[in-house]
Amino acid sequence: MFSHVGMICFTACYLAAFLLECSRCFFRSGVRGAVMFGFAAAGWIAHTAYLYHQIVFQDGHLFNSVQGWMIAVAWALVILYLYLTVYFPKTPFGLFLLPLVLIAIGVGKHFAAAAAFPPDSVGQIWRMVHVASFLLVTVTIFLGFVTGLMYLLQAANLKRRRPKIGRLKLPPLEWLQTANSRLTGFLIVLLAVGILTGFAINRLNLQNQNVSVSPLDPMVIVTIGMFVFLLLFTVTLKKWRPVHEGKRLALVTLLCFAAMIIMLALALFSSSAHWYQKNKTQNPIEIYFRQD
Amino acid sequence: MLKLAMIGCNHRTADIAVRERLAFSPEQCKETLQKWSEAQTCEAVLLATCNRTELYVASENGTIIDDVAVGQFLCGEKNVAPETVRESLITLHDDEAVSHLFHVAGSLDSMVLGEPQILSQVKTAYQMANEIGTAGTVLHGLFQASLKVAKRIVGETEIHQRRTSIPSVAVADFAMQIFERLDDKKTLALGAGEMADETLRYLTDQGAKSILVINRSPDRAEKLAKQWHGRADVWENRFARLAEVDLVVSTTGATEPIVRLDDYLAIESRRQGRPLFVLDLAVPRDFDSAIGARENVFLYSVDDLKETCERNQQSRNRELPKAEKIIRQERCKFWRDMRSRETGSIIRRLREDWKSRKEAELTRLFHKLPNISEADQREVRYAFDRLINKLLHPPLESLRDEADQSHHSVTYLLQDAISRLFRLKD
Repeated sequence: MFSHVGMICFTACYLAAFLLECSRCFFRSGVRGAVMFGFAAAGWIAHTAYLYHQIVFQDGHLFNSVQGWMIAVAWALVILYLYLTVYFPKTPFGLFLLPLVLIAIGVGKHFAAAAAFPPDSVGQIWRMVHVASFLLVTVTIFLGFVTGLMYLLQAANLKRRRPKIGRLKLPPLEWLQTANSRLTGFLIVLLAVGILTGFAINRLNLQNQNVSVSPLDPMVIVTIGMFVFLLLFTVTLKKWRPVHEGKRLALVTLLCFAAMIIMLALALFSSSAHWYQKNKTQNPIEIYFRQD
Repeated sequence: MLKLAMIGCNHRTADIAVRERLAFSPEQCKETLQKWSEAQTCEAVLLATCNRTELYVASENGTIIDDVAVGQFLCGEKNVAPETVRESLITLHDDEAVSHLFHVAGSLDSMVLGEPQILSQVKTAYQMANEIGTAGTVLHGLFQASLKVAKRIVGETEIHQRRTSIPSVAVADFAMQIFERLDDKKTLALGAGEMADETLRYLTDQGAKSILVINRSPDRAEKLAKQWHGRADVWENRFARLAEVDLVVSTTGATEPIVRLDDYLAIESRRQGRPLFVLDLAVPRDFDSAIGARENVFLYSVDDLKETCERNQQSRNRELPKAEKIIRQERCKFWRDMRSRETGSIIRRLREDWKSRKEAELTRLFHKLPNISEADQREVRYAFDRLINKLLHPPLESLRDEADQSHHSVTYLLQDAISRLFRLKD
């Protein structure tokens, strides 16, 4: 029954919800919130059915492809959007979150041919934790990007002595700063888990005489670099509490987003051992997981 | 026939001296309604606020509402001679009364357009009448419709969204955009005048608890601090306190800035990057405008806020046509519902009348034809039912259509005609 649910179904629902969010800039409506939520919820149900079908019926591992990965990220972002819409119905979170959802789906669709991990690999449990933590890292970075951007917009707007951006009312600066701070902390933990499980997988590969990922792999460098930077930033912030804390936190969330884009670009366009492209003659992921 | 009237006065029709004389406290409202319920058969709701005293009266059975007697009753309750306030009392009937209540509930008739208190006052008045039992079918319908109007105006227009007084704009539109909550923030009031008092009221309404007042005159600082459960400090400590607080309300009468950029820079590092919201309501300004350019300082002067207030006022005015449209729609709906209720009653009575006649005829017929089978009896009964339905269908449809579309008086004429033609009894 779920085989008829295509990406177009939920993408169209999210697009409709996004257009309704955009209409907040032009007029007020008593029913818009419910309709918007309805579209997003319907899209999410279709989205869930699609993912379920991918996992169960097509014998495909969900994160086996860039498409699956990005669609899972979009799915998690929509949950966050629905939650935020219920608790903060007057705040236009969708204006910032839904484009990311649509972009994630678009990227997934565009790079449908690219694949990640093959299904038969060593250390399934470690790999699951590794993948799950990086999936959550991606979602956290997306959300951090939204709250960071909102903080900077809100601060600039209040400096200009305007309580709203047109008709849009953003959350208070204090709330956004707290959100950025928590997301940064959460990101450090997730990155630590992801990096440690990555090391564990590498060790297992070495034990099985498989080819492991080099520490100089560009994706590894960017990931560890982001982790170290965030750790140092947080320690510095806690210890010395520099001026402009809120603004710096917001900028860090944007920086993490930029780092994630770089990682994605590396995954798709470079020969990183983490990801593999079907059309390449040399298959690093096969080398990574190959068992003699 | 349904009758509705509103008798009373408000800030548009009566000056404050008259309104004071006709002002009812909640206890007095209760007593007045109790007296009304003992003496009168009509429904009544008394809406009494600082700006209006309005008695809404209704009757469903066509009882004539004597405006003069109602006015005298209202004046009598306050021991006011009716002739002394006659000029200020207004009487509105039927659709005018409905329209007026919808404007009142929607806060379109308030002194400050869009002020939110009036809705709760309308609710309280309605609840009180409910408890005492003076609100009947008509006023239930009317007040529930008025609450719906208010809800729609709040939800579908921006009239209630935007504040228009400087302290309210400062607190609700700016302070609450910086801070998520105020109960854990420290507030410093520099100056102890009326403006400081009013702004502190808005801040405490939003949850501010820790209030510090500094004034050149320590007595006035003490007095204001005591009023808002805060504490006072001496003028010389103002810079030290500035490093500790999150919100500052400055309203002194100083002719020179009392906090210059250098003064702020001296304490800036001690603030450790915490946001500082400064509301400079003094003219001339108390804070050097250059302080507003510092990171994490949000400095607003009267002019900055006045611009927002004016914009909000214009925005509210622009929303008026939308609110009026909602009122028109709900007025039509209210009368349609009321007419449907009345029409429903006529239809029910007519059907019952014809049904009893049919039963009488059938009993007589079956008595004359004792050998008729049960199946034939059912067929005869079925034929009678069909005949009655076919005969009644055109007049009842016309009545329903008129109730849905036409004016109240046309529907009433039709109802009256049907009642008289078919000799229907109440």
